[in-house]
Amino acid sequence: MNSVILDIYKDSLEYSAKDFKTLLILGVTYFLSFLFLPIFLIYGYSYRVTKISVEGMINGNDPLPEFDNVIDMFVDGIKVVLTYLVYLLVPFIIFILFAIVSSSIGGYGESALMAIGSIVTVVAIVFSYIMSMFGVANMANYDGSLGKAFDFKEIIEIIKSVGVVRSIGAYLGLIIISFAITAAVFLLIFFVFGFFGIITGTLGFSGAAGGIFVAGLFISYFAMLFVVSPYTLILQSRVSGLLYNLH
Amino acid sequence: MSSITDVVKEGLKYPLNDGKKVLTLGILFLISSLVSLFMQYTVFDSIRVMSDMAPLDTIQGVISAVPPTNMTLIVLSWIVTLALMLFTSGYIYDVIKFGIEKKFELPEFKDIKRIFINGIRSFIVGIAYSILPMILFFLGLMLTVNEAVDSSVNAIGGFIFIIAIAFAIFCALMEVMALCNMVKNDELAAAFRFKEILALIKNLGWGRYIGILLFALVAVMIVSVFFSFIFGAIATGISIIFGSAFVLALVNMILNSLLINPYVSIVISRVYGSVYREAIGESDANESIDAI
Repeated sequence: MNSVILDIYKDSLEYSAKDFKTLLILGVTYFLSFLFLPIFLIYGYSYRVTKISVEGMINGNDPLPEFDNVIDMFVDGIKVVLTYLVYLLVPFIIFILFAIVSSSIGGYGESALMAIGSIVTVVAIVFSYIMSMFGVANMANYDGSLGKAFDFKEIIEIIKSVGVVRSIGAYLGLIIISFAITAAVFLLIFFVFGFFGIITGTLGFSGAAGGIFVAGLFISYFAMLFVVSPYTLILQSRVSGLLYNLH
Repeated sequence: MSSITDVVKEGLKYPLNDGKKVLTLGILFLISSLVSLFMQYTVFDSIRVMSDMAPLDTIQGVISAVPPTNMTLIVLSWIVTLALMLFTSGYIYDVIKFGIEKKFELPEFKDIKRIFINGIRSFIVGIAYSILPMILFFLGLMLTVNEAVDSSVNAIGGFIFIIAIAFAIFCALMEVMALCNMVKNDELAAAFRFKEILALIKNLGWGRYIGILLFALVAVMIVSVFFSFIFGAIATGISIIFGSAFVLALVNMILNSLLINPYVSIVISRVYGSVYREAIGESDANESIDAI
């Protein structure tokens, strides 16, 4: 049973690495996200990945989506962001409620209640995350109908059909994989430049050493931005689509 | 049933079908903005002249104290701005019509008299649907912040204020449908057939209606924020070259009114038209089923 999840991971890891140019384009969009609108283009693209995955299959030789029809991508991005925000609202409200109640109690009760509240919130976040991913996949399945992203009954049925434990496990594993990739790339670049920094430092070029070190930091940051983040985005969207198909 | 967002997608793409017309509309917006911008300087000087002089008791005295040439210029600028705004409203009227008929192209700027009259009609509808909410709004506001009255009256004022806001939202929603109804039937009275308008909204579904409008608003806001960032950056760059803050305001205003304002207006009106089309379209479908 779990081997299916491993197949999904393998397929998605290969899929996201298919085209370096795509990662770069997304990377530039990530970079421009301070302008607010590109954020929606990014999530619009992730929606397309999910849609292709929902309509495709594991190891099905699906292509990466195109960057055409920018307006459609933008509007789809709004829908995806809206879905995430609404699903995130629940844990947020839970947390606020715990905060309000516990602050009015005061004393030891306050800390204890907040501790419980934090744990409850984290659990709520995990569940709402999974629900939101399946919600977006459901929306992709029904040709972008925003209502379908919130069809709780159907989504819960689908999650049950895929397997609740399997779903939770798949997404937790996904988070670990994404984190590992990000950390690995960051440390790699960091140490490469740090290494050069130490060498030049011991050779007596202390200024250059500092410079190379800082340059290393900068380059790792941009590498993160331009390549790793797009990669994990596509990875996540593909996994959510393929996982959805298991129902 | 098409998704809520399909209407918005189509609306966002629509103005791109004919950039020239959008630009023409933009020029109209631009001229009126420029007129008001430059008049601000003249008016500012006039007011300064007025305040420099001895205090005058009568309105006659004040107006006669203003240099006559400036006064006529000011009034002239008001007339020009009003005329341009009425004309653009008339063009928007046509955009709504094309939206209802789901035409691919943008309306022409021909037949100026007709466009102007339509603009006046839209203006009337707008005022009519604003009067009551505004009265309630000010009533509530005045009662709430009033210190000369009992605090219980303040509470009532607050209550009225909240109701005024809800009522204003309701009137705005009605006004959209009313405008479209007038456009479709091509008569001013159609904007005030409340029963008909309410029935149309109910046909479409209040949830769907509000959902489409809200989504369109969100999308348009994101786009305009994005472009205001970019235009602000361009304007800042240009103003640095010239070393003048006025240039910054000027370039920013030019870019915005020339490009973004017409685009946004056309998108929103197109969505209005499409929404109305859907509201009547479904009643047509129901009628044909009953006929069978």
